[in-house]
Amino acid sequence: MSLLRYLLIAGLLVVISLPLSGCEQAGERQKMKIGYMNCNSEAETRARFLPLTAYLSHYTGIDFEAVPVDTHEFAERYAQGEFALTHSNSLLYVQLKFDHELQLLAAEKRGNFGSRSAGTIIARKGSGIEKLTDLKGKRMVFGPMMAPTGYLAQYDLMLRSGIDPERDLAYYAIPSGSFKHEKLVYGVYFGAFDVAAAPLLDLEVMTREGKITADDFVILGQSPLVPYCTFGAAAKLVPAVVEKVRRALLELTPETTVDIAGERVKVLKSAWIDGFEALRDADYDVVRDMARRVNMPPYQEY
Amino acid sequence: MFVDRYDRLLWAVFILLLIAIATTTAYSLQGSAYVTQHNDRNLARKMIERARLDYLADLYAPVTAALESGDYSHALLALGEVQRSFPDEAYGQVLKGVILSKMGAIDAALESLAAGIKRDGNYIDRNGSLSYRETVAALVVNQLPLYAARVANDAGDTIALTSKRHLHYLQSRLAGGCE
Repeated sequence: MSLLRYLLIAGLLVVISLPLSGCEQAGERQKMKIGYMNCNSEAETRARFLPLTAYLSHYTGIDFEAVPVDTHEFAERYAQGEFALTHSNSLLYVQLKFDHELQLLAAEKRGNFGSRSAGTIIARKGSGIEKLTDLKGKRMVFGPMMAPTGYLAQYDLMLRSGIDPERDLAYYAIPSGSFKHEKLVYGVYFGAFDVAAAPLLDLEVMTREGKITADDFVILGQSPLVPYCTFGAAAKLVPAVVEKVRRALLELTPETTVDIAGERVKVLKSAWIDGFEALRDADYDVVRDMARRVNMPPYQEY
Repeated sequence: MFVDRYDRLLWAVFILLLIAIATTTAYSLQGSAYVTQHNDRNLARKMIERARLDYLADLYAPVTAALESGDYSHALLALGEVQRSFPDEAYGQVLKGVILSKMGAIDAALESLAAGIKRDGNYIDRNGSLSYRETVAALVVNQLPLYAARVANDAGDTIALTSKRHLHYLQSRLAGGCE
C-alpha cells in the first residue's frame, strides 16, 4: 500500500471519528431532575412546567427532567435524592432548608403581590358573619395542610386572634382531590360551609376569571404576606450550577419562548408565572414564625 | 370736486380713512371667528377631559369606596374585576399601587405606581381630581431612606435596587418637568 493510500485512510478515519466524538460530548451532558410540587394533577404540572424545564436545559446546558411530586411526598422523595432542584411552596422550602440545607434560588412572582401572597378567611356576604370573633361555632373549610396561604396562615391568624380551630369551631374539613382552593370558595358560596380559608391569590384569579365577584364575600381577616412558590437547589450542587440556574430564572421575561413539539410557547405564561425574584432566606422568617406557632413541620413537637 | 390741492388732500385722507376702517373691521371679524373657534375647541377638550375623569371615577367607584373604608383586600378584588376589561389602564395601576402600599406590599406597590404614572402623570398632579400625589409623596419620603440603606448594606439586593429605582422615578415625576 502506498503512503498516499495510508494517508487517505487515516484522513477518512479522522473525518468519521469527528461526529462520533461529538456524540460522545453530547452524551456527557449533565442530567438533573427538578421536583415540581403538584397543585392539582401530574398532567397539569407537566404541561405547566415542561417549557420552563426545556428553557433551563437550553440555558444551562444541563439536561433537566421534570418530576411532578405530590405535596405530602415531596420532603420524603427529596430526602431520597430523587431530584436535585425543587419547585415548591414556601413552607416546603422552609422544611427542606431546615432538614437538608436546601439553597434558595428564586421566588416565583404571580398576582398582585409579586413574590408574596396572603391567606384570608372569607364568609358569604349577608351571612351575618362579619369579623373573626364570629367564627366561634361555625363550620369551616381549610385548604391542604401544607398550604402556606390556604391553611398555615389562617390557622395562625385564628390562634393569634384568640380562636382555637380545634376547640372553637363547630367542625372543620379539608376538601379532597384537586382544585382544593376553588372547592372551598365554592363551598362557602353555595352554603356547605360558613367560612373558608382562601388564599388571596385564588380569590384574585377567580375574580379576574369572572367565577366570583368581589361582592360575593366578606373578608374577615387577612394574614401577613408570605413568600410564594420557591425554587431551591440541593446543598451538594456545585455553586457554578446553582448560579447558572438562578441567573436563568431571574433573566426570564414574558417574551421568553421555547420550542416544544414544533410549537413556540411562552415559558412564563405556560407556567402561570409572572417572573422570578431573588428573595433572601430571611424573607421566609415570617413562614417559620407561623409554623412554630401552629406547631407544624419543621418545628412540630408532639 | 378737485378744485385745488387742498380738496385733493381732503379726498386722499377720506379714502385712506375708509381703507383703514375696512381693514380694521375685516381683521376684527376674522379675529372673533378665530376666538370663537378656539373657544369651541377648548370647551370640547375640557368636556372630553371632564367626561373621562367622571367615567373613571364611576368605573372605579367600588374600588375607591373600599379603599377609603380601609377594606383593602376587597378593594383589590374589586380592582381585579375592572382590570379584567381594562388591564393596563393607568388609573387602575395607580390605585393598585396605593392599595398595595396600604397593605404593606411596598415592592409591588412601587412597581405598579411607577407603571401607572409613566402612562399618565396627571394622577400625581397637584390639581388633578383623581390625584394621589400626597400618598405617593409620603411613600417616597418614607421609603427612599430605607431602600437606600438596604442597597448600601447589600449591593446584590436586586429587589431593593429595583424598588429604589422606582422611588427615584416617582420622586422625579413629583418634582415636575420633562421625563
